[in-house]
Amino acid sequence: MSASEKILSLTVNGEPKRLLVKTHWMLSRVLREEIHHTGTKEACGEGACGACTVLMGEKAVLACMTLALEAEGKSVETIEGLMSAKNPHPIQEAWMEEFGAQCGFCSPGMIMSAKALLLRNPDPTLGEVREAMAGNICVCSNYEHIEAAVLSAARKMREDGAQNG
Amino acid sequence: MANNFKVLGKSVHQKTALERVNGSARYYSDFQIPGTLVTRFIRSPFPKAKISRLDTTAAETLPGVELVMSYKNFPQTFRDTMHYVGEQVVAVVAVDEDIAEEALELVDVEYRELPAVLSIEEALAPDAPEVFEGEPNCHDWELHYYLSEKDPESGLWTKKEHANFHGFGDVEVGFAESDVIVEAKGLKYAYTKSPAMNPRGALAHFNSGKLTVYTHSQGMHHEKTVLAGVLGLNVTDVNYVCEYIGSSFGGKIAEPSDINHPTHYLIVACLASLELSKPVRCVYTREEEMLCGWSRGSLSDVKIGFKDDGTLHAISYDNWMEMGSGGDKWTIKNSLLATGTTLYSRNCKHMRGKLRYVHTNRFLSCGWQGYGAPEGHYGVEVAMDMAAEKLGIDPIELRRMNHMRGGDIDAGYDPLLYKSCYISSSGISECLDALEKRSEWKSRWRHPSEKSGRYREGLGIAIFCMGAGRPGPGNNTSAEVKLFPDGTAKLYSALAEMGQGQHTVQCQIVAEVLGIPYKKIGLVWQETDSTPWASIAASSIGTWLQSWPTYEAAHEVRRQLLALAAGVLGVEVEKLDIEDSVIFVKDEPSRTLTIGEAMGTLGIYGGTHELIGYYSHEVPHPRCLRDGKPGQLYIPKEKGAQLVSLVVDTETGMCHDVKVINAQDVGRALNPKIVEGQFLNARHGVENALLGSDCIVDKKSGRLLNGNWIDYKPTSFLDCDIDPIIIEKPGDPTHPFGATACGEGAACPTLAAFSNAIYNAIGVRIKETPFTPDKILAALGKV
Repeated sequence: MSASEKILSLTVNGEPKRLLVKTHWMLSRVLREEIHHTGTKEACGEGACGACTVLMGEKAVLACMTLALEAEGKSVETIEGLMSAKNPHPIQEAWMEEFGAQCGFCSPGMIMSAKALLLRNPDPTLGEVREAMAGNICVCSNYEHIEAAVLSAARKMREDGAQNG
Repeated sequence: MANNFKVLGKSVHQKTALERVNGSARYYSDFQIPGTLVTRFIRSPFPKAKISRLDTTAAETLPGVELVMSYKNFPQTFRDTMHYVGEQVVAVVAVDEDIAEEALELVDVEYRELPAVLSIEEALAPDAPEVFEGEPNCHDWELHYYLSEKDPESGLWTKKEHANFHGFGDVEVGFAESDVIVEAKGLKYAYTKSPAMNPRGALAHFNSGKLTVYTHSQGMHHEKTVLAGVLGLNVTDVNYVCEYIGSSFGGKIAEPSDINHPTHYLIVACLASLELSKPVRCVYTREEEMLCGWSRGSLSDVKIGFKDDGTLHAISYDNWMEMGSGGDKWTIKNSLLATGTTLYSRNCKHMRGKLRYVHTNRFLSCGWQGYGAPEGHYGVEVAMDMAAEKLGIDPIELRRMNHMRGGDIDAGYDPLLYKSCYISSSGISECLDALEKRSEWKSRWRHPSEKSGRYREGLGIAIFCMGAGRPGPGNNTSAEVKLFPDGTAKLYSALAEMGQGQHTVQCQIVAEVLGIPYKKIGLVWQETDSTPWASIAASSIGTWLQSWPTYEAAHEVRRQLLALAAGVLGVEVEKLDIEDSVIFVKDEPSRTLTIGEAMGTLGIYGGTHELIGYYSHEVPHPRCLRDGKPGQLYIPKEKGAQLVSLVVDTETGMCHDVKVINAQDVGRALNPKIVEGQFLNARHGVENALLGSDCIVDKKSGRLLNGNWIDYKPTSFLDCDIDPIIIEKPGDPTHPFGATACGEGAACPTLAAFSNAIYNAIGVRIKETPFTPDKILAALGKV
């Protein structure tokens, strides 16, 4: 192991991982190239578009702006972790119903941002959705459909929560 | 079946919806092959320069470097003369990016700087330096035609001659006959960047004599064929793989045979892989992506003559389009769509359109969303607004009087094959009615002279048409449909799906024709090896072009199935129908068969295991011809109207509360949610109007100063609201279900509608896009 390499231990979608990384590698690179979770996208590489959004703990972070080593000991959730068995998460269901994806390249990051929002605010207003998601760019400019998907997912998750609770 | 659809007209889920939302959709950059080499570039630091010294020896000997490419060993892609800041000088192919970048530092390169032109104005100046040596910077469009001798029966032009402008009649006579003449001069649409979420790139893998290319494509088969020719390979030895595109809007179309086209990622990856017999990835960073795929930049002058009552009589249109130091020169043709050739063909008797494309030492161009049409609409629809004021006619009413109708003559669209065609349908009046109502135009619209105070509301309107048919040579497309005994079917179609929903719609058509549920339809589209030829999905053409082969291939399967069923049931084929996968006798609905029973499959021993329908599109389809007469072609258009409302803050120059209502007649919305989604991309116009979309280069160095998404902003959730209104006016003959087109249109009228709304708010016309606060304040005399 050279001076520019380190062992990184983290949990990705509930699975513990231990791997050798270069110290300058970004989390997006490690997720995509080393762990082969290519659902996390990289579109700008400079934190301007949100395509690489993943959850670290319950917080949305930009994987292209996060050094991989910052994830040491952390729990990272990517789009691949959202399905439960073969069932889509309510946010994914809402995305399909409301046609939240056009080309789909922004969808993984967009959906992870939506999850972070709904974890901290289960009943957002339209304005709150727009503000929380404004760092996620959709160049198909499908924003009205995405807003509808987030609001519909929020309803669904509140109802599911009420039933389970 | 005609009016009682089971699947069409319904917003069924996208065919690949789950893959798009769970991360399993694979874009080219998601394909990973162990041992893949990476590529890094040295790019020109000067806008025009000659390489005076190049030594790559040190880079070549660095361990881990597999190939160094330059004009010396790969002259088909690299040159010794640079034409813009960022042109590829050297590519290093290495085992990882760190080594590749280290190797770039070891390349010894020196340049001799040459004089450059960094704007369209500089390029047009007398004695301007030449972008390409020995070639003028400004070129006349090669396909200007003068049309004459209208056939009295068909109304179509019968004579077409090369000319130094495009049109008909005599504009000088037309203006002399006009009562009111309006001129809009020096309108400038900034050179703007085509949007793409996933930057350009490719992974090429030459292995055992076969080249597999993973990339994005709007026309896999075409690109593969051209690529094979360029590389000297048999078409059969290349497989083009394109599962998901990551948005393109036309801007990422590849043209491997043109060294000036922004397709270098593709050629570099393929040449390196062929040389090394290893997988090679060449992927652009966002900064590299920003060095190509520019468009729109144009200067235009418009002159329109009217009769006193507002009847449009003559149009003269001049357009100088910037195309940087190479790329796509054909986009300019679409600027004519907004003129008397098409959008205002109804009353225009005299038309003169003069198109020129202009090289600069700026970044490579492309055609995207509207492909030249937005520039044309910007000029013409601003002039129409000025005309409405001069004539004292309501801006909506003036358009209503003059816009194209179904059956009017399109004299601009396909100069290669047709002298003129019929516009298949319009619906623009219905769109204007819808906008007028939704915006409460009649009670809200006031003349700018009636407005005062810091915050001033403005309403602006523009209408549009975009080409949607492309009957030229090579535009045939094919589909294959297979039906299986378990009642499932599969569509084989290479038509590109870049987010516009075409795969879903084509599967809906198969389900509708076969009478089986949509969820039973599978789709094969991912690569050229397993799909029949499809033309490039461009010009909003998908629905028009692909629906016919899909429809006909599905019908072929239906015919075969019902013939088998007729034999089993002992009735005539005509007496049978299929619904919900059940074949039944129409007069005796209790007599039924399953698809499996009709096919009579008995394991491997007998019966029919698959029914296959194949259709290759005759372009145009016979139903696109008026009364079946060759040469009398109905050509569909994407068409509609758009209204922008906004509030100008006259202290800050900012536009607030921006709302765009986009109404389009799509004939029939085969999947309404998908259609709505297409209208939402009116935001690309908002981006160009409002967010500072412009190619800003340093005047000294020629460097791009806003080559990233921080300084060149795409629209976000917060910039505007879009209100989509779908109009379905039945009867378009050119599609099996009366659908026309939607896709690119929504971005075509937006700049004019914006300009008109700002004028309506503050009473000053801003001639140059984008309409940023500094320009608004300058127009108000405040800075």
